[in-house]
Amino acid sequence: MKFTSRHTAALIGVTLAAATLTGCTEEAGGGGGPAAETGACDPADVKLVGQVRNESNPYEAAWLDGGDAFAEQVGLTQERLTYDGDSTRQQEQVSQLLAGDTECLVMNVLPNGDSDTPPIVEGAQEAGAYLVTQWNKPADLNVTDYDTWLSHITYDGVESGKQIGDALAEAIGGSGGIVALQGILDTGAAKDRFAGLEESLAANTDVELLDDQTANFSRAEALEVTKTLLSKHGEDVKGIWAANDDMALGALEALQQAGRDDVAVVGIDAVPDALTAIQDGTMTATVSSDGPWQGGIGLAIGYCVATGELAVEDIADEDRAWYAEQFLIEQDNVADFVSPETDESDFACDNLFSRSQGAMS
Amino acid sequence: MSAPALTSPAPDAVVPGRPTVGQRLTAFMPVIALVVLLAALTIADPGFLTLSSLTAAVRTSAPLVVLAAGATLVVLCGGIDLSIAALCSLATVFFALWLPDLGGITTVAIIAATGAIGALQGVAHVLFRIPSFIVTLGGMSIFTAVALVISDAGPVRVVDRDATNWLTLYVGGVVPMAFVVALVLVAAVSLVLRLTPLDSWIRATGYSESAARLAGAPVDRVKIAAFTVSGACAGLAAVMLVSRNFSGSPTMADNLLLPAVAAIVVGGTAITGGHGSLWRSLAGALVVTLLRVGLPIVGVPSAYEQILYGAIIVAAVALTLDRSKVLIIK
Repeated sequence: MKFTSRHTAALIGVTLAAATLTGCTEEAGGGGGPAAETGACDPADVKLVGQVRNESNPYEAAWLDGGDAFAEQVGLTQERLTYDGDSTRQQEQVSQLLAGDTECLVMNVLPNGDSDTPPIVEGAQEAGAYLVTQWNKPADLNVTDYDTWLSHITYDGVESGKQIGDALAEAIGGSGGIVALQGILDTGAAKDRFAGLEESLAANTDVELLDDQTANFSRAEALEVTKTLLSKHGEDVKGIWAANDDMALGALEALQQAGRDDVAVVGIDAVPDALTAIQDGTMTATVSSDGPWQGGIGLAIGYCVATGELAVEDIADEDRAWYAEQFLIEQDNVADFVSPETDESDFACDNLFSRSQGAMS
Repeated sequence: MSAPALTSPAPDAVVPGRPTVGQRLTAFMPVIALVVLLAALTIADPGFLTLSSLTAAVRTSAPLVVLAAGATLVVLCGGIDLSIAALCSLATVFFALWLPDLGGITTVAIIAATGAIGALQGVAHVLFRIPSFIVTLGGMSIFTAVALVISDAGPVRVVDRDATNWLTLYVGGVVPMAFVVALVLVAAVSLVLRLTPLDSWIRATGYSESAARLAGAPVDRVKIAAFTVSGACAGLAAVMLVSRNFSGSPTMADNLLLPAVAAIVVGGTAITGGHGSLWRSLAGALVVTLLRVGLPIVGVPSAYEQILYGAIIVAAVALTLDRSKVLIIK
């Protein structure tokens, strides 16, 4: 017993002495410090990393496959990281990654939520790793304030909400009643997409919004909500607008149970089940952000900068945080999206921002 | 499987004497497991064994070390604290919400508040004689729900970083301050236990509560104290997480519960109570952290990562648990 307490006391003493003697520093020793601003990496030395939530989600798995496709195109391999939708785990992975060799590191990251982006961005800046983020970032965090955070890509929810709203109006012949299934009301995506529907309704004056309810982006909740709405409005319902495909699929289920096949359904995300439903003709339209392209483009931007083919200061400010093009999928073009493939020319260093629909507002 | 191993009732517990080579080896098993794991990761990816990557790993491990250390006390008493992770998440939200008003003393306020909440659970456990498993399971859902409500079910950003900046410094340019704090905590608590009768009271409570009562140990107060420290540790871990993530979130630490329990068990502390120590949990937390961050970084595909994680945890426990100190394995 004596022994142990003496050891313990010695350890505390040494620790405290070390703390006072050596003082504290802002940064860990041994790190490379900010990498050279101009990329001077040998293409073979570039390390590509793609990070998403979950490979069991078909969209995110397709994203990583797109990253693999780009990596193969330039003769490299992509490191696939997933963090199970756990913000803490994502931060742990990123900080471990940034502790390794970061000189030619390129990261294409899907932050779990808006508030997860700042620590990732600051870590990358400190380590000098090239970073592209997608979907989530706090509005007041500016990409142009950082050197190695090359770009942030997201999608205009108002636009996609409007696109499927218009497709729905056309499907029901330009007039009639529709109901809307909203997403988690507190998210930007849900608000933007519904605003898009309202724009569409303003243009299609004969379409009437009978009711809007939230089903929290969930298939099961959408099933229940749709049942209720169908019994409330009955034959008046000609179309269902859902803020994502999962809810659209729940609505389809409810329609099937009610024996209705005269109602048009639209969603967003282009999940495989929805594409099948569009092929079958049971669903009218969805919108794709093109996951494989997302997986490739982030790595491509980082690769072009790392190898010196593109300089950070040559990226226009409006290409540092931008809306990418999204695609309306209907029965006539669904075949192109069932097994999406990346196009090599999309990832050429002089063609990186060709899908831009303008800077983020 | 409860094979009645009554043949070896821990001779050295009764007869004081020099520990045998085998016993010494078992005592160091957690450290050996740590070194073996590090060696394996280095073989898988030679680039893993660098100073900066080890620095990042111990920095990552700090909140887990603190959580596991606190909960170890409860486990040593023969109980379990399932609420640590949820309480820690709640504390991150409290921190983010209180910081604008309280400023520099927020850290102290958080630790005091979570300590008080821990004490409350201890009192409920002792006074109403509800199993600690149930009390803390209830606590877990209450804390999660409260955190969701007061945060509007989303993350709360921390803009003013002055209050947590000290935790992000590096001592001597190498050792992360958060890890130093975790080390000091483990050392200080261990020292207090050694220098006071608390150590024998806790052990006695864990091995046999009724015997401890008969022997005159203040079992109830010891248990409440253990829950208090466990709660306070959850608060400290929360401050560490906020210093790293610049935000508080109602689910931030939720996924640290099982790693914390794994850390305690991998360290060789008996989940049935009595045998173990905080140092063991420190080694266990490092093993678990290396597994969490190391496996994906050295390129293990995510599907196999969980399989390896589970297998290594079970193997590590098989190595580290000193069965001569634990008569019944449940």
